[in-house]
Amino acid sequence: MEKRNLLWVLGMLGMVALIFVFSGTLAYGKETVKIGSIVDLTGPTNDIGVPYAEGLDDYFSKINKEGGIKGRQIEYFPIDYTYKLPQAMAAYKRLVTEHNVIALVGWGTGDSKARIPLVNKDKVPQLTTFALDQTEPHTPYNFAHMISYEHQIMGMLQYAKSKPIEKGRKVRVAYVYSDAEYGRAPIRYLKERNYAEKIGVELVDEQIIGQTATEAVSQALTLKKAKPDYTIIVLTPKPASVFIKDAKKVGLEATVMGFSFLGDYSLLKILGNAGKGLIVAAPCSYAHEMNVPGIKKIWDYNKKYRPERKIIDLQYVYNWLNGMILEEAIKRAGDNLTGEGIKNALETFRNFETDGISRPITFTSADHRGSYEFKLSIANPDKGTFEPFSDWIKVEK
Amino acid sequence: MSENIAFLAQLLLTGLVLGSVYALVALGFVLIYKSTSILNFAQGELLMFGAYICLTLIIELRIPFIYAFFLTLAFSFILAVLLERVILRPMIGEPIISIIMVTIALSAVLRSLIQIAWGTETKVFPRIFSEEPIRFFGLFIAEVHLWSLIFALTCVVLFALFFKFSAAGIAMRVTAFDQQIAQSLGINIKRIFALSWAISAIVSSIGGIILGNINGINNALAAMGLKVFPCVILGGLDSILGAILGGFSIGILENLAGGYLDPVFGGGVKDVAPFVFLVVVLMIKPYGLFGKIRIERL
Amino acid sequence: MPCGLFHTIYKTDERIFKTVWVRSWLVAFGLFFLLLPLFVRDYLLYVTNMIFIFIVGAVGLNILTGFTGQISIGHGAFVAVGAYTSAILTTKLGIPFWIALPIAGLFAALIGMIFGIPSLRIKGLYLAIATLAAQFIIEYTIVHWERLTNGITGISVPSPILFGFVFDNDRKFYYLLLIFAVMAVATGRNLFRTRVGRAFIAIRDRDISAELIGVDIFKYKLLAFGISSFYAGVAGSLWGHYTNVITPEHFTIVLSIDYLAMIIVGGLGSIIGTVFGVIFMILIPELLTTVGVLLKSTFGEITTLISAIKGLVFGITIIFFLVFEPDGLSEIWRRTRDYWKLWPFSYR
Repeated sequence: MEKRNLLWVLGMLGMVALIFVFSGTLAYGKETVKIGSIVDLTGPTNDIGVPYAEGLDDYFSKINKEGGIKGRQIEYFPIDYTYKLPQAMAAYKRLVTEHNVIALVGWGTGDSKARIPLVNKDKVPQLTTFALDQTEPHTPYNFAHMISYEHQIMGMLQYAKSKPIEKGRKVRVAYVYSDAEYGRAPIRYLKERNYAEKIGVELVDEQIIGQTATEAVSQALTLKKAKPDYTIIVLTPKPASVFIKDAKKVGLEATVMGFSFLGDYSLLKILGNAGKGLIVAAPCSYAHEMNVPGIKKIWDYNKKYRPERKIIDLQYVYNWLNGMILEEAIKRAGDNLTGEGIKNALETFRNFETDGISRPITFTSADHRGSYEFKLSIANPDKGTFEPFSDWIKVEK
Repeated sequence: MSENIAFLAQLLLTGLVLGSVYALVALGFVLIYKSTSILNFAQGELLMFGAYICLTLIIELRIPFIYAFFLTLAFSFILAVLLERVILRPMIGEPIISIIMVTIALSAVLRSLIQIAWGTETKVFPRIFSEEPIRFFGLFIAEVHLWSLIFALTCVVLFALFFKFSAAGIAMRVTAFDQQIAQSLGINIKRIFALSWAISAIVSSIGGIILGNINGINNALAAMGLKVFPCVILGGLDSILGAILGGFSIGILENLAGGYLDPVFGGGVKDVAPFVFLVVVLMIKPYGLFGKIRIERL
Repeated sequence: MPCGLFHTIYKTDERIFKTVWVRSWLVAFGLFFLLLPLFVRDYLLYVTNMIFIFIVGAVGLNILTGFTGQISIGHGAFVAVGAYTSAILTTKLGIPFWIALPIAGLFAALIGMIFGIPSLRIKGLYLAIATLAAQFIIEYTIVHWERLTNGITGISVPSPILFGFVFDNDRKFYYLLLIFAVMAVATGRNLFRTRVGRAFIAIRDRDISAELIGVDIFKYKLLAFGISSFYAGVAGSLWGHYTNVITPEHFTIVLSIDYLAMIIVGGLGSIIGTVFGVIFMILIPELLTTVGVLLKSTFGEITTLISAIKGLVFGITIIFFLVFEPDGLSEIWRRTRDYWKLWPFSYR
C-alpha cells in the first residue's frame, strides 16, 4: 500500500486505541482519594483562573508531601475547559465516570450552575465560586465558602450609603458588569429585589462590558452623563482594567468599587495611578498580610517548593482555602469516602477555623454558604497591594 | 458646549481614534486578500504578536521604544515570510475554504504559542504618555489616544503613497489585479505574495503596539481579528481605500451605537452593531461601498 | 470499480452499497454499534453520543457548504435556534419532545432560509462573512431576549419521555442518537441521488451554467440553506435534551468554526467524510486531555503549559492535515478502499 496512506491509517487507528486504553487512571498503588476540578487555564478568564488552579494544586501537593490524609494520597485531576460549556460537560463526565472523583471544585459561574442538577444526581459535592444564594433546597451538593457576589454588592451599597456626599440628595450608584453569567446574575438578583431603592441609594445607570473588550470609552462616557458617586463593577481584571482606565481618560470621577476577584496584584500593576481609590471586597486575607498564620503557612510551602513564585494572588489563597476545607471534610468522612460521605462531612462544619485566612466557616444542611462576611480594602498603587480598611462586614441573607 | 453635543463629539473622537487602528488592520487584511484571495483569520494573532514582541524588547532587553518599534517590524516581516513559505505556499490552488481553515488553525497555533511564551497576565507598556487627558473645547482626549491617531494616520498615508508610487507597491497592485498580467510583465508572483503577507503583518503589529499602549496587552486583542471583517466588507474586499474608510466608519459606528443604543437595548450593542450594519450594507451594495462589482446578469 | 459487477438497469447502478461484500460489512458494523454500549464505559458512551449529535449537524453543513458550495460560518447559530426552540417548546408550552424536535428543525430551517436570502445577491466570501454576521446577531438576540430565552442563565431542558420511558442516561440516549445519526447519514447520502441534490452540486460547480440549463438557483440555494439548517436544528434539539441545559455560551462562533473544521478535515462533498471528520475533531481534544491527565500523574505538576500545548497540537494537526491531504479524510478512505478492491494484486 502506498506508504503515505498506510501512515495515515495507522496513525488514526493508533490514536483511537490510545484513547480506549488510556482513559483510565494511572494507579498510585495504594488507595487514594480522588478529587477533580474544572478550571480555566487558557480561556478568557485565565488571568485569574491560573492562580486559582495553582492554589488547590499546591495545597494537595503539600498534603501529599506530608504523608497524605490518614496515609491516603490525594489524586488530583484538574481539567482545563477553556471557559467553554461543552468542554466543561465533557470534563465533568470524565471526572465522574472515568476517574471516580468524590468531590469537585468548579470555577465558572455558568458551567457550575449548569452542573447543579448533575452533581445532585451523581452525588458528587462541588465547591464553587458561585454567585447565587445557596439556600435553595434543590442544591444539596453545591457548596461555596465565600460570600456571594450579591452579598458583596449589598455590603458595598451599604458602605456607599454610609458615606453621604452632600446634603439634599441620595448617593448615586451605577453598576458596570460583564455580559457573562457571573456579571448578569448578581445584578439581576439585586434589581429584582429593588435593593438599591430599599436601602436608600439611587441607581442611576448600568453598563455592560464585554469579556474581551479592548476599550470601553462609550460606556464610560454614558456613565459620566449619569454622574454617579460610586460605580460598582463586576468584571474580571481584564475588562475591569480597560474600563477603569477609560473612565479615567474621559474624566469620570466616581469611586470604583469592585467585587472580590479584582483583588489582584497584576490589576494594580496595569492600572498604575489610575487604580488610586479603587475599593475591592475581600472575602479572605491577602497574601501580603504576613501576620495571618494561615498566610504564613502558604509562604512557607512556596518558599520551599516554589521559590520562583514571588506573588501570590487572592485567587490562589481562595482555592487554598478550598483545599483546607476538603482536607477537613475527608478527615471527618473517615472511611466513608464517597461523594455522599464528603457532603455529610461538609455539613458538619460549624465555625471551622481557617488559620485566620477567612472567617470561620459553617455549612449546615439548610445553608451551604460558608460565610457572609467580607472586608473592604483599598488599593495602594505605590505598594501595589490592597490594604483592608474595614472590619469584617456581615451581610444579612 | 451643550452637554449633548459634547457627548456626541466625544463619541466621534473616540470612534476616530479606534477607527484609525481598525483601518490599519483592515488594510493588512485586504492586502492579503487582494493579492492571494485568502481570508486571513489569523490577523488578530499577528497583531498580538507584534504587541508582545515590542513589549519584550522594551522591557526585557531595555531597548528604547524607537529601536524596539523597528525591530518588531523586522520580526513581523520574518514571521510573515516564514508563514507564507511554509504553510501557505503549498496551499496554492486548493479550494478557498481549505485555505481559510488553515488560517483559522494558524490563529489557534499562534495564540497557543503566544500563551506559552508570554503567559496569561495582562502586560503593560511602560508609561510613555501621561494619564491626564488633554482638554480642548470642553472635550477630553487622552494623550495616548491623540498620539495613536496621529501615528495611525501617518502610517495610512505612508502606505497609500507606497502603493501609488513605489515600484514594489505598483507591482503588488498589478498582481492583485491580474496574476497573469503581472507574470507576463516579469513580476515574481511568489515574492509578491510573501511581500503582501509581510506588509500585512507589519501593519497589524503597528496596530497591536498602538492598542497595547492604550489598554494593555493580553489575549483579548485577538478579537480584533473578527472585528476587521465588518470593516473590510463595508469597504469592499477589493479596495484598499475602502478598507481604510471602512475601518474609520466602523470605529465611529461602534461608539455611536454604544453611546446611543446601549441604554435602549440594555447593553452589548457595541459588539453586535457592526455586524448588523454589515448585513444591511450587503443587502444594498453586495460588494461593499468600494468593491469591484462583478456583473453577472442572469 | 470492483470486478464482476455488471449492471443492466439504472436501479442497480445507482445503489449506494453495490456489492454483497460491502453489504455484509455494513451489517457487521451495524451489529458492532448496537452492541457497543454493553461493553464500554460511560464516559466513552458520552463521547460517542456527542459524535452522533455532531454528525447530524455536520451532515447539514456539508450539504450547504460541501455540496452546494455556499460557505457558511454561521452554522452554530442555527444549531442554537433549534436547541432553544425545542427547549422553549418543552418547558414553557409543555409540548412533548417528539413533537418539539421536528418543529425545532423546521423553525431553524426557516431562520436559515431567511439568512440565506442574501445569497441571491452575494456570493463566495462575502456570503461567508454575512453568515458570520448571522452568527453574532442570533447570539446577541438569544442573550438579550431574556423574556423568551432566559438570557445568559440558560434553560434547564427536560429529558425526552416516550410512553413513560425516560431517556435520562447515556446508554438510553445512545440508541436514540444512533438512530438519528444513521438517519442523517442515510438521508444525506440519498439526497444526492435525487434531482434536488444534483441541482445543489450543479450550483456548486458552475452556477451560471446551472441557471442556463434551467436550475432555479435562488430557489435551490434557499432550499440548501433550509435543509442544512433543519439538520442543525435537530442536532441542537438533541443536544439540549441530552445535556439537560443550554446557555448561549454553548453556541458561539467557536461552534461554527468547529463544524467547519469537521467537514473540511473530513472532506467537503462527502457524507462518509463528514462522519470521519466529526470523529477526528471530537476524539483529538479528548485524547489530548487524556495525555494531559497522564502527564500530570507522572509529573505531578499543574502547568498551563500542558493546556496551551493542547491548543497548539490541535492547530498544528489541522494545518498538517490540510497541507498534506487537502481533500480530507474521505480521500484517504477512498484510496484505502480502492487498494483493497484489487488486493492481493498490487496495481497503482
